[in-house]
Amino acid sequence: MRKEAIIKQVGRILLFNSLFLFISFFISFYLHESSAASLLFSAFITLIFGVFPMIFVPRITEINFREGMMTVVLGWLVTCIAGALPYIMYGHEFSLANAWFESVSGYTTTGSTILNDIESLPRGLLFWRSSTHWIGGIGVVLFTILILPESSTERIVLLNTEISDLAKMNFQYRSKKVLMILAVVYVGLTILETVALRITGMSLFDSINQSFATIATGGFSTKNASIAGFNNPAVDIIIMIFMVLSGLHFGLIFNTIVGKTPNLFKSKIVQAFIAVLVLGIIITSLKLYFDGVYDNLPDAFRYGAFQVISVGTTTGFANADSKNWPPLAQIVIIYFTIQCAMVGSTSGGMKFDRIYIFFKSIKKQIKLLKHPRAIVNLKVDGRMVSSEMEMRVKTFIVFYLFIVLVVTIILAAMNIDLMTAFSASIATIGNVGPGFGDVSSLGNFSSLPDAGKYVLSINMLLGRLEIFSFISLFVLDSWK
Amino acid sequence: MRIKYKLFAGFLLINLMLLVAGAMSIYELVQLRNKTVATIDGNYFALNRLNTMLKSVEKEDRAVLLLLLGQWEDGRQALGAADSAFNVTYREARNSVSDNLILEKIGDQYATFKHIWELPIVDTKKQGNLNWYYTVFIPEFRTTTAMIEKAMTYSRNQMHTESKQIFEASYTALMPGIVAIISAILMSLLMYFFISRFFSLPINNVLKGLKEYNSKKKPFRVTVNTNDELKELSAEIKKALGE
Repeated sequence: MRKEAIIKQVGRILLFNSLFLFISFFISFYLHESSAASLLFSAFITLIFGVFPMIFVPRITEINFREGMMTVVLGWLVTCIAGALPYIMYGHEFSLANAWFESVSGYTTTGSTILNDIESLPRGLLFWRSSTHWIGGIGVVLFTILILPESSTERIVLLNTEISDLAKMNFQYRSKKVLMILAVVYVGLTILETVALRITGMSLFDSINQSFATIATGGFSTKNASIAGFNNPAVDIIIMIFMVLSGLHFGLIFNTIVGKTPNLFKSKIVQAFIAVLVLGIIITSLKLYFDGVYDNLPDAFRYGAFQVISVGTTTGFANADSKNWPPLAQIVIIYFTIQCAMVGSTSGGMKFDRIYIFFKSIKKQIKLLKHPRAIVNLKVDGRMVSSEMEMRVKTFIVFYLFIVLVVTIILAAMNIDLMTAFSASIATIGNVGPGFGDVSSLGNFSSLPDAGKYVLSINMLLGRLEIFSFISLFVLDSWK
Repeated sequence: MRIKYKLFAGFLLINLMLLVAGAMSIYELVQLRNKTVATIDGNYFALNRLNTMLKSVEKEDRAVLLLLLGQWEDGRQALGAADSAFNVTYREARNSVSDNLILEKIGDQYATFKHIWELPIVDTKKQGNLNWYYTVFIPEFRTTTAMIEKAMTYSRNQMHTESKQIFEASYTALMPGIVAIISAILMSLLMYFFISRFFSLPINNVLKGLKEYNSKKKPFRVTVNTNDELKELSAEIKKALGE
């Protein structure tokens, strides 16, 4: 494995990050904020580390799969370290563990926070916080190779690593075009949401920040009370629409816009995802109404729908505190925390497509029980799912749930109550953000011990990198 | 890029980072020094002035007691001196206490208090009248001293808050240094890796190739892809050896 090839790609990723750090610095500098110095120095460090490999490493025309895999995993780790720099240097609520947790949570688009008072943060730092979502949303690696292109071979290898096989199932394009599609949809949705939020009367700064967090399915808000802080039904509706869109396959969104197939209206997975989401909304909202949590049905639907969509798309915004909701509503939310959104979107975690294939596989097994000699094919949107992929999906689900269990046990061993431990575990590996107990939708992770924050940070990275990519970093054989 | 420019750029970047870290630390330390001086001087000055104001009011109380005893000359002299001291320190305190609203309230209360003892006391019904002293004078005296003590408490709290800010500022001043040290170590390791990978290794390969050519008459098959003088050197050797 050529270490220099990996270092060069990671350098590019750092250069891309330094651009956003400089923008954040200019905001702080313009507003005469105390965070300007920490942002400037972080931008310089990131820039210098990014430029360094560009000077020494000669042009590399192609990288192999292992190098691509290492670039993606190391890219995420190095980016998270760079992202923590402004927080560490700013201080206040950011201890070393807190800064690392906030940075990982930002880049992995988890949206869990350790901040008790978000509104007291300088605006430059708030912008940086949202930027980590936006950069991480589409995968910092994809962005960098799109903006700083060198060779198409590099793009393809990195794309194969970054997007799982499932994500590519619906794409009929060459990888180069896939990158363009992702970027166009991503930037387009961000601009659209910013404009829509501005129309509701939200400030430009808040609009941009909420859009960054929504499209990346992140969940960092500029308000202590998340979206509840705006207390505006129009804002809730707009964010709900964009959360759903961001939870869908970006390639299908693009196809729908340009009138090609497969698209959102033809895809069976999309239809199933929306149906499950609607069912969840109905159950939660009716339970909230009949249990008297909200006096009228529109309010029950406003808060019920927002929370279900927010968790179901792994965004993690909140317009109400679901901590005291009836058990059935909480169970629905826990289900969506495990299920997560669709592959090909910016969401992390298990992904709905795996659940869909898993249930189709169960159906197939039942058919085989009835007719043992029958040849039963498993198809998703008209494409056959190979037995190998079926097995990988099942292995992934089992391994995913095993990690959830292990992390819950580790957190419980730190004297964290079971509900907090379990929900923190599923919320971080699913890159959702909030859970229940001490880490509820309007709460934060500050009360957890530092060791717990480090464990949950690893959990977030596992969820973002779909477990196996992350583990590959520690398989020493691959470094030879 | 030529080797000398590559090395120059590498060292320049390390130095640039250290320069920025140094400049930032110096800037933050100067800010910290100014803030520390301002906090200590400002709050000490404010507390000192408020204390003088409190003592002046207490002196006025004793002077009024002299007037109640009929000692007009001593009483009025003491009142004049205390009032003058109060007014001078009040003006100075207005410039040093950050919350001017408290000072304005003290000024208004002092005017009310002063109005009581400004009026004649000796040879009036007030002389020797303890009832007037306790029901009219003492309540205003207590209100005035309570207000000054409140301002002193505010200044002490302010000092505590500012000390916390100084502590946070010292953290900000310290961090660029720490981050720069760690970054410099990492960059040095990175530079060591680049130098050994892109300078030492190709030179060793060329050397090995030449040795094998000379001793074992093996063909010179060394590929250098660094796109600098080393690549040119390898090409020239190949040309010279007729490869």
